[in-house]
Amino acid sequence: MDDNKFRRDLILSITPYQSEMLASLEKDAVYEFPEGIPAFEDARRFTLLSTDEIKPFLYLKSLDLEGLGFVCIDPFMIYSGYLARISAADMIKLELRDASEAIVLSFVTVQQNPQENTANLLAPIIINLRNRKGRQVILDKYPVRYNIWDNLDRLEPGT
Amino acid sequence: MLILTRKPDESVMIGKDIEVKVLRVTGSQVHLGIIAPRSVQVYRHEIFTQVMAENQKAVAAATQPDAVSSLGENLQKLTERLRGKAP
Repeated sequence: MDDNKFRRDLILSITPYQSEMLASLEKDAVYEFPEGIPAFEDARRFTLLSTDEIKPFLYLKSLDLEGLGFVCIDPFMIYSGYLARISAADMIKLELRDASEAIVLSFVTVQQNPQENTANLLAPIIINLRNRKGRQVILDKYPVRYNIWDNLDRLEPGT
Repeated sequence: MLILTRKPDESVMIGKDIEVKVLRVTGSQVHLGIIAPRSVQVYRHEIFTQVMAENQKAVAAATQPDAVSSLGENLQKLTERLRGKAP
């Protein structure tokens, strides 16, 4: 791929698309993470489960390693004004052309006490729905352990 | 490990595309300039380590038996709050 096509970083911010895209994900679609997930490099193929019982959470389930999976949440839902600046390097790897192709999800670290659950806003996963390629990207700000519960009060109504 | 000694304004090449230049040294801080193709990603090492560690924690928590079905239970309160907030 010609690197020059990607001169600028792409900023993914809240769009009307994300919630619609998450609500209409193709069932049983297989997403390929060519480099795996850091610390789980052998996990390359995943599917996204989104059942009524776990909504608004999703579950990114590995098809390569039994029992491996990540609880995910739409970061725009828990952090007003969240911006994912996708570097040209990541866009090239995802073959991402524009924001409307992509979904952004944060991994949730589940604790015994639901008030202590955190979301990884620093390193969201980006999935290009057009070619079904995904990868975990590292942004230049945001915490790796963002307490979801405590910060819900800060969300503005309607966001 | 290959060890090279460089002065400010000197650089090393990694392959023919990646240049790492010492810009200046102030006390214990070294300022590096990195010139690399756009497809090469550059991170501070500790950030990458932190992300790997958090991924392991996230998986450990999510891969309890019946993770998906018990998610509803564990995350129910949070879910209710989130749903209450959602438009």
